[in-house]
Amino acid sequence: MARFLVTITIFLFLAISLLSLLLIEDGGYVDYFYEKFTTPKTQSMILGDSRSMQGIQPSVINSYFRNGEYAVPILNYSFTVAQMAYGEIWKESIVRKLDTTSTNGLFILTVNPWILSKREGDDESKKVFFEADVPPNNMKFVCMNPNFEYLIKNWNYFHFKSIFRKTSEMHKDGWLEESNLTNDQNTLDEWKQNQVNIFSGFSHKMQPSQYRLTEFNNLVKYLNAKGRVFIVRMPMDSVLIEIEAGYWTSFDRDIERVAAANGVKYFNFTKDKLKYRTYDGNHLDKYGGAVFTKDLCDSISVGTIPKK
Amino acid sequence: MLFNSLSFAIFLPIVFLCYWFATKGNFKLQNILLLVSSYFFYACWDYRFLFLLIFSTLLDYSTGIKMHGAKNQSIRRFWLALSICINLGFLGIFKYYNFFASSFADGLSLLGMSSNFVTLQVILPVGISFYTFHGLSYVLDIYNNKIEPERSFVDYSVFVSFFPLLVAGPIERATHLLPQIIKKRDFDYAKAVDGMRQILWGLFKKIVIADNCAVYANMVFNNSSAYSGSTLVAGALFFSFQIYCDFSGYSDIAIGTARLFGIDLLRNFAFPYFSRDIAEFWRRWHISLSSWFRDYLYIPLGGSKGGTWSKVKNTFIIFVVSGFWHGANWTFLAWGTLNAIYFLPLLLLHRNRANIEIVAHGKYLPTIKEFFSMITTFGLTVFAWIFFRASSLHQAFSFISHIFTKSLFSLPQILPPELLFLLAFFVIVEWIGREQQYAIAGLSHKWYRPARWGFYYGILFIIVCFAGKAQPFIYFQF
Repeated sequence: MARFLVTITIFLFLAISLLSLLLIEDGGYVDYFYEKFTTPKTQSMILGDSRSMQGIQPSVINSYFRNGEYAVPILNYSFTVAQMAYGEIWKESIVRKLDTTSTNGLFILTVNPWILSKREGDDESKKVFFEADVPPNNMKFVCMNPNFEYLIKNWNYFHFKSIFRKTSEMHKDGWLEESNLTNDQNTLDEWKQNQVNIFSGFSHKMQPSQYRLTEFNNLVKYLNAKGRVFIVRMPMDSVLIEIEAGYWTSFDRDIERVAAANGVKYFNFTKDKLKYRTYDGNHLDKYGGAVFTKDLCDSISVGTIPKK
Repeated sequence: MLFNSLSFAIFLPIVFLCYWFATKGNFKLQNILLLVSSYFFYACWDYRFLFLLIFSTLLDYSTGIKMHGAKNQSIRRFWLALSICINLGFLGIFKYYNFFASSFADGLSLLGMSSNFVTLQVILPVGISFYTFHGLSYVLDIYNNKIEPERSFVDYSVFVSFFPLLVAGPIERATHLLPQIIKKRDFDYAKAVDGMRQILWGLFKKIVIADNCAVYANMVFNNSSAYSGSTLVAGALFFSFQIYCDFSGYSDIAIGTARLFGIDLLRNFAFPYFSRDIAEFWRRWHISLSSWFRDYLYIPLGGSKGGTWSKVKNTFIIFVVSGFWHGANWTFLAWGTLNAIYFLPLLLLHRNRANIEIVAHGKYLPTIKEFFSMITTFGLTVFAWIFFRASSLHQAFSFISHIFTKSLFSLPQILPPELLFLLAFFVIVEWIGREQQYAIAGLSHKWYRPARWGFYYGILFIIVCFAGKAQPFIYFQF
């Protein structure tokens, strides 16, 4: 029996070691979010959904502000719209990842109507929210490498097969890089139509949430004390902007009110005609993202969106 | 609690350690532990039906003792009949009532009469077909004086409820399992390691092959009119591998798990897709069920003794009942009937025992004749699986008619290269290991440890990388 237990223990130990090695070396290829939970606490953050997760590149910001205007490196702590919405629950996760001693942090909070809306199943009075049981909100240990908590709780998010193709990579700075996107126009049109369908679906199932708007305001206030906050509305195709405008007609005014109340800037990149390349109308590809991030840095630096 | 779940991965080591350490080798305490663990395992599925399991256990335990102590044959027969009627009664109500009610109603409406049968909204208790047959084999063996009744309720309950085989078999025999339960079990290193090896292979079959094949099989069967004939054939092939790997994978895990506790379960699959004829296939597929029907239904009916009509009748009865055991649907009856039609010529020509040993025994490759025999048998089996998988006879016939069109000769629309590679790997490993109890059993004495461990890690890596979308075990629905 002792021999069996020893043998099994050694076998499992080696298996876990091999898995840990895989996660340390290639964790960014086998899961879209894992790497965000393996880095140390951060003083600066980008927050939002998949638009900012793909569209804002921390390396560009780190390079732009390397002279110390803000505490860099910055972490892109954005997730997808299926996992996050502004509220108490996500704020708790943000605080877990934040170096709370920060006083010179840069906080880029991206907004759109969907991540400030009440979803089906949410009960604001009972504090029951859809995002409670998914990452990042189900994570207690957000700075562990390898992160076994993420491995056990969110096993279903992993796609280990991708290690052979490596078409997308979650960088350690939290930016999701999509490579080898198709050039086939039919496919791209299909993807765009899919986004239109998704957004149209959202507009029927969600409702603008005063609760989430209030919590967003609280988050802005909290982070403003740790550095400087900039609220950003990401660019996207006009057809999607129209859907959002039709869904929440006063959205920009509501955000401007929050910005004014906290003395922060609101950069709305949907006002001008889209000049950045998206691949599906909603998400900037890596080239469009690089250009956009640079323009965002210019905006942060001068306080307005530069005219081009 | 699925075998391929985190909760089972936590449950099993705890039970294992308590079994070998906490009980200090006392097999009575081990049996109590196994019983409690098994009831807990079952309650995780649905605690409400635990009472049905316990009732069924108590029924067979009591009737077994009563039967053995009966003074005359008619009283013995009474207790046997009571056990059979109540056990099959529960099975009939939970599994077959709605089928008979709706079929009878459909029949009446064909005759122009209306009916108002109430259908029951009941959940099928997990494993009922399996533990019912456990209990029945016990009382039948007592009636036939093959065994004496077990006086210890705990020991008997472990026989019925032993958690590795509780929800999907193998269907054990009292003559095989009970003697192991009522004696001391010593830890055997080689047996335990072999058990772990078999669990690993079972997980590979289930998680990699079965669950990945299921995705494509479901795609094709759920929308068969949208696909070409060749794609439908591919879909039927994917289902064939799905059902084999799902069920045999589960059996491997069950048998491997039992070995960790020093208990050997009956082999349930012996590489059936390498069979050279249908008779051989049925000696290698779901062995515990087919042998159950042979011993408790076919032979009492007269078996293959008697005239031709008797043989034909008994063969049809066995296969139709076997089909019906799988589910309350005309498709299962059609599947069983088709297999009977396949089997009968072999029986009538006395060729049903022509192929006993595994194909190409002691050789690397089959002969051309053996190869074509295997392909033909496999083809017949795949064709029959169409009925098994289809949701209705209409869908099955529609599926088959769509196959036999010009599009049969076009390239299939679904040909996932990764899955084809995995299937090829799987078939090769199964072929190489076909003379063992399970495909990789021979590794222990053929390879050195570093190579063996490298292979195991390779299998684990494939499981992790290529795990299909989790599907329920097919045989849980039976």
